[in-house]
Amino acid sequence: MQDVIRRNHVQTLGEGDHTLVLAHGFGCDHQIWQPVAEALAPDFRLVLFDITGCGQSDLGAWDRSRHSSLHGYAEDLVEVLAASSSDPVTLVGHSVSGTIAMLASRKAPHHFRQIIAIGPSPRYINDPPDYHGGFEERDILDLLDMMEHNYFEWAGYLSPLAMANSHRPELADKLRQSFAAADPVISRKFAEATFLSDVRHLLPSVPVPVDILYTEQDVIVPPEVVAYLGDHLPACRTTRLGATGHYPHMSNPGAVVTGIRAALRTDHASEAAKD
Amino acid sequence: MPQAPPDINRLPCGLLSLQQDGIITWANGTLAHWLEYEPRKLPGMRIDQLLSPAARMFYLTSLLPLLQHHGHASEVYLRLRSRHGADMPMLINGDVTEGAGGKTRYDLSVMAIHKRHVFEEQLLSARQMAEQAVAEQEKAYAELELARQSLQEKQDELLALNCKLEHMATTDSLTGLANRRVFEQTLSHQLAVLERNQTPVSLVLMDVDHFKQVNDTHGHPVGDAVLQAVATTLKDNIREIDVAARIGGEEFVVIMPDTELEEAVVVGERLRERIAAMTDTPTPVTVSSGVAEAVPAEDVSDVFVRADSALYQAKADGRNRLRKAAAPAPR
Repeated sequence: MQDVIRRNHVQTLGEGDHTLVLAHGFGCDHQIWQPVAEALAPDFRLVLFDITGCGQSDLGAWDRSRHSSLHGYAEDLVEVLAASSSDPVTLVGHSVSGTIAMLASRKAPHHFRQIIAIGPSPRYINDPPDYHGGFEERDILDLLDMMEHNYFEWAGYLSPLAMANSHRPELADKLRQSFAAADPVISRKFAEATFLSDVRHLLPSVPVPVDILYTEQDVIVPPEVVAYLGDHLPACRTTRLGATGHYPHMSNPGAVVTGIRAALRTDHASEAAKD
Repeated sequence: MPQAPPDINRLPCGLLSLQQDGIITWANGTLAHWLEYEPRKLPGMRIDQLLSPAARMFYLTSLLPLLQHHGHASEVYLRLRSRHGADMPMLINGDVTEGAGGKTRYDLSVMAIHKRHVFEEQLLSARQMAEQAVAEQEKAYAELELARQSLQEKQDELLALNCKLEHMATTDSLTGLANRRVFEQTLSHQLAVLERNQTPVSLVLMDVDHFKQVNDTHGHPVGDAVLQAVATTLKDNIREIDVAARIGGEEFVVIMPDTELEEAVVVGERLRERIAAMTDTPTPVTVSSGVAEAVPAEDVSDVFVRADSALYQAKADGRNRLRKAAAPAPR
């Protein structure tokens, strides 16, 4: 249990009977929640953590095989929840963490009271004719290629040492600290796990109520995806935030706090029963 | 001597300022030229419009977090899209500054890296090939290991089979005693030892009395059980250095190395008594025995024939008894 706390740099703050776990998305770490966490801390017990391979998590705990798909990250999340709260929690997940939370809730429903997902997507790549994810497969491969090109900026990346220990380029330690995503190989693999994922078939078996918070002009998640989630999750409510872009918790934390409080206040079960 | 500052719109470097929400507030002429826009067209556009979908995602998930979290970004590779849709590789440095009215502004310097890009592409593909080669090598190793394991298994099977064959070739399958071949080899060996070291060797030849009647009256299964019981009694009552063998239908022999005639007679009598005293057979069993000690220069057949004659004498004298073989006739 102590291992999980250290592995995922789990921190607890705030006061309240109700625990909210804030899970960051791809390309960032727990710090992204800072403005939101400040606003919620007086009323809730908050748990923040870094996804394995991100931020101040234990990079050594990242496992090429376990973390090759979102299911491995979901297992991590279940362990974080078990280690950080004895009662069911509300999980607030940004972007891919919303999806990871849905997978985790299937593995361990008893840990969840509710999921609030901000800008999640069950599949980023279009699947014509019926599914519009917003991207062509080529776009995603292009993104991965661009990430690959950025690894060139890492001193010693091509050196034999780095090649032999490509999962842990110690040489680049200093440079690494200046990056939000800590390790280029991990970050690239996380990108693959995220942007090539397709969990649409699992949505109908998500056993907890889900609130989707979305924004206008989210270049990562088009409105069609939000509608798809609303149609396929058993208990789902979608709410548009008064904010724009894929990172509303950065650009407009107030709107996100309002969205979270509203999602918590309303009785989800009775809403879902209407469907 | 002080000179006029260079024209920022003609410096060989692209410059770009953005608001936090991605709206371009200013770009220099060089960047506009690279991207095939009129310089005055860029302000007011969104950065998204200069990015492919992939580049947009990369901008959002990599470059922007660097600027937001760390206040600067250095040497980030990003492809900017020209007005005519060409994706151009660029290297970008960025800083966060306070703009007009205290608003956060991102200032980016942009370097076109076409040549370097080609070079990197080659390096990348070389690395991918190296990775692929390593993967193939690992695969080949795995296959080799599999083949080795399968060979090992085959060898183990062969070894087991050989053991089984060896057992079959040396053992009488009904009783588990040595077979006739082993008897002949062992006796031949002991005769050689006698010849060389004058170490004596004796043998006790036994034949189950009225065995044909046992078979005829009680059937073959009972006959087999009798033979097995005799074998067990022999095994239980001889020394480790002795060899008991079944050499015919109901004919047994015990070779006793380092044993003179009188000693062999004692053992032969004991064996006969123990067999006659067996209680676990379906019918009473007795044996007649002939005992012989080999003399130098005898061969297997010589000593066997003498023991066999003694055995016939035992049969003729009424069975369930032991007779010593006569010394060989001088040659």
